[in-house]
Amino acid sequence: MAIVAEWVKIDSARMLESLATAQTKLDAGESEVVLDFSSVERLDAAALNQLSELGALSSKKSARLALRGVNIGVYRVLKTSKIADEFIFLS
Amino acid sequence: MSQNAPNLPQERILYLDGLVRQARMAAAVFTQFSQEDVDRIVKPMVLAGMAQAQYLARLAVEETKLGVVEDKTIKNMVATEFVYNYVKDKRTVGMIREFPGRGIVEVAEPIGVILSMTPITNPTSTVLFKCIMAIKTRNAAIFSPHPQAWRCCAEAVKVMYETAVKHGAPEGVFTCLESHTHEDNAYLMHHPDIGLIDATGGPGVVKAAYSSGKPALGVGPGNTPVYLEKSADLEMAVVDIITSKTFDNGTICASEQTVVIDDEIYEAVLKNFAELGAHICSPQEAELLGRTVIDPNTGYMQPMAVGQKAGRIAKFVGIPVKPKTKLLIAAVQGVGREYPLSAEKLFPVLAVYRAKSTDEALKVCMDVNHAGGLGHTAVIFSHNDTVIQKFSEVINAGRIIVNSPGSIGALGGVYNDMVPTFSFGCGTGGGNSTTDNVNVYHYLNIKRVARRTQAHMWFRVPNQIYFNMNAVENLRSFPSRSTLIVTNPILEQVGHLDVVRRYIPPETMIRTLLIPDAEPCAAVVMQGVEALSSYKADQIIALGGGSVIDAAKIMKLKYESPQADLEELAAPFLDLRKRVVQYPTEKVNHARLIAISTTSGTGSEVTPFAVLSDKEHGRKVTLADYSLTPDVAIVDPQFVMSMPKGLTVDTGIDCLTHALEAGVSIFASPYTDSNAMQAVRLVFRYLPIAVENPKDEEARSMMHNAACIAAIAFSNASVGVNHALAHSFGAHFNVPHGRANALMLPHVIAYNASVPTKFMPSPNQRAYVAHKKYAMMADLLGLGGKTVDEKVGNLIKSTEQLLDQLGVPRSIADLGISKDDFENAIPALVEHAFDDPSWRSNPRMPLMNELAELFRKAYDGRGPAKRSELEHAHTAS
Repeated sequence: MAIVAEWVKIDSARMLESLATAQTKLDAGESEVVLDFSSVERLDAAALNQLSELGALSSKKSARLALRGVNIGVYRVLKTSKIADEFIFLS
Repeated sequence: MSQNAPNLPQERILYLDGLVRQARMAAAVFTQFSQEDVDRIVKPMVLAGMAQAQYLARLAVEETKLGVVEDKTIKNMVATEFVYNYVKDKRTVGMIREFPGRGIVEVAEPIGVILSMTPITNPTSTVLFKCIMAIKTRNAAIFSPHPQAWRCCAEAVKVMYETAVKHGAPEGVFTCLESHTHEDNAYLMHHPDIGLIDATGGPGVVKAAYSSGKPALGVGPGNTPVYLEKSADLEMAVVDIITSKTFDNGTICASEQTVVIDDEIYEAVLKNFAELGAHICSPQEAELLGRTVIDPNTGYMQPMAVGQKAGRIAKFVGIPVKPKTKLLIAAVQGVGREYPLSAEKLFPVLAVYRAKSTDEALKVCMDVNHAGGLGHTAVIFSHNDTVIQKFSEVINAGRIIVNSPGSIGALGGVYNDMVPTFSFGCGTGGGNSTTDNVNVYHYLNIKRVARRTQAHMWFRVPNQIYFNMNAVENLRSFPSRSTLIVTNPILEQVGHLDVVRRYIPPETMIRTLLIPDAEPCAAVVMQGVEALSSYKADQIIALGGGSVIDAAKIMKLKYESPQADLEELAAPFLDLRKRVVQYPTEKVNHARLIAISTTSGTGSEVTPFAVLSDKEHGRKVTLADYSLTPDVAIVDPQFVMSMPKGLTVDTGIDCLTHALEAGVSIFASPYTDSNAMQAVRLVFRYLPIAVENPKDEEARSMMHNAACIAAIAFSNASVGVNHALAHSFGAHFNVPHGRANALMLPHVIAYNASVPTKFMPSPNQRAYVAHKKYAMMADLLGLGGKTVDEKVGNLIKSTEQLLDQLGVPRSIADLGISKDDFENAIPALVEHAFDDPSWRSNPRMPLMNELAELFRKAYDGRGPAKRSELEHAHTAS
């Protein structure tokens, strides 16, 4: 049976809200959530922390958390903060 | 991580991990910031620090009970305003420096999380300084202040943090440990997410930082010697020393500790000190002072004295002093544990020493320097540049302050143009990694982006080359008072010498030196030098083959520069531009060298090489330098018309080898290619004719030109592995050079045209092109072939046919050398060939086993049957 991933568009102006939506989906038992970062230019510390918590939550729930459209600057932040391994990256 | 903190409770570990994690996240977010983003944050931080300078200074003095509020206020302002003045225009993000001429760009990479230890003596100023540095470089910092300066430091961190975040810095960029223990510090120092430890503090914390295995910046202890030399401006010196030593009650570790005063000015200096508020201790007071403020057990200062006023210290010790006494001065007679006051004293007590001479003064300063202050700071007051220079040579200090106060001078930016800092690197003398005033660049990883550069190439030939029949007549145009003709007896016998003499201007005094027809040895060279000196020659005419011309080149070198050491000049080198040994440029004599070649092979008349035979050691020494190149070359075929057949063949093949090797050399250029290709074409066309019909003037003339043209090519592009093999083989089995070259030639072409096992590093070539260059030669010769492989195959085939046509032996075996003898010789042959510099420009780097294989192929011989066994070109066309 095909699994349809839940898709969350990350709104750069309301990033924390968008990430909260993703958390809700993981809490609801979704097995795969895709966060669309294509409109995100930059991460702040609060968003990074929340993203890190989401990563930890997905691991705990054995769910797949994928990030799509991550720009190189944001990718560097995730690598530097050492949380990149918690995500799957989609182009 | 708990293995690094066995005594830390789990909740403490979680707390510390949380701090580091927060800092790591902030540092990661910081990577997105531009230079403009960073600079927008730094400026308000500086202004906030300035605004709170007095408040933080007061907090520091209240908490630590050290120093002076007014002075700490100044320190806080220096730590902000002066540091800002230094960093404001510095690029610390992205590309920070560019060296266009070198193709190098430096790009800044933040460190990440810095663990920052701050001291009790300069607590808030150090925090302000480090916060500004961290933000300017996009790093996060965790502060671990001295336990007795925690509150003021935490407040300073708070001021900086709130301002930074308000202006856009990532949350969590600074944190300050709420309280800490040695275990906390040890845990953090070993934490994998701490990128750098910046330890400003006592020797214990610095040592712990360096022992952690982490990259660390740490300052060492100071013990600043001061030399007050008799030429100094005494009044200025005394004021400066008092200013510095009393600044913040002497807590800056760069402050003056022992002043060594020249005997002549000693009394005047002490009088001046006393007039300006210093108390000069009696010998008894000095002894009492030393016993009290320095711990006799450790030799270190007593904490109760650190940062206290002079009057308070005097009262504690029991020395009666006038009110408002600024400084206690005590004479010492030496340096070391038996003279306690010669140690570091971070309070207003100054030792003085009376020196009878400059030497004694310098020695005492060195003693102080070595008694706990290596690498830190030293001061000299003098107007004698020689003494200042001597002082800076013998004293090991990262900062040598001249004619200004030690403490404020070392901070930088106030009395001099040093980088402002609150962290003094003390180099290896102080157990540190740097002698710098620690600054923003120490908070960065600097990445160097190095673009491929192309080394400058050259194309150098003699000033004048005259060619074609009777070109020798051009000798008329070279006036000379005294000319020495160097030639050999055979050329005299055949009449060549007379021809030459005929065209030398009549007013010239002509002498002749006949030398043996063999590679010249030192004795022959010196014979020539003596003749040149004796005749005061201003012109040398070398008439002969390679040996004679080489001899004349070396004679000229030694005549013009008698100090030239031939043995040294023959030292090996990899790149002519970077060679260690330089040829002399100072000349005591000047002589024009005109080379007239009488063979068509070596091309010595235009090359910068000369071979010297070292008979004593049974070897040949090759000299190479463009200064050896003759000034004038005369390529007149009349001198080769009577060359014997064997010599014509051997020299002709040598010429072909020069051209083929220069053509595929890694130093080949369009300038050398044109010469190499043309020489190949001329040899294939005219050498068989010159051999078959020696009287054919055109063939002789073209072969003579070919030799010269090929030599021009290899003078600028060098040769290759064929020459390395031929030199080794020829020397071992006494085979003429040209013939030895011929035996190797087809095998070397096949070898060079195939994919190398090892490529030669060659910034001048963008790809491996040897096979294509051979194909170009094949095209030039009209050999046909559709693919590069076919063309290379045809070139090999044609070369073999040419050699066959010239009657060159097909194999080493054909020379009568037994298989056993040859196999036994191979290790030595390979060793010598590998040592030969000729292959360094070969397109393919030869491995030793490949050299052995090439030798074996040459033994077995060339020809269609043999060629099928050769390694053929496999490269894509």
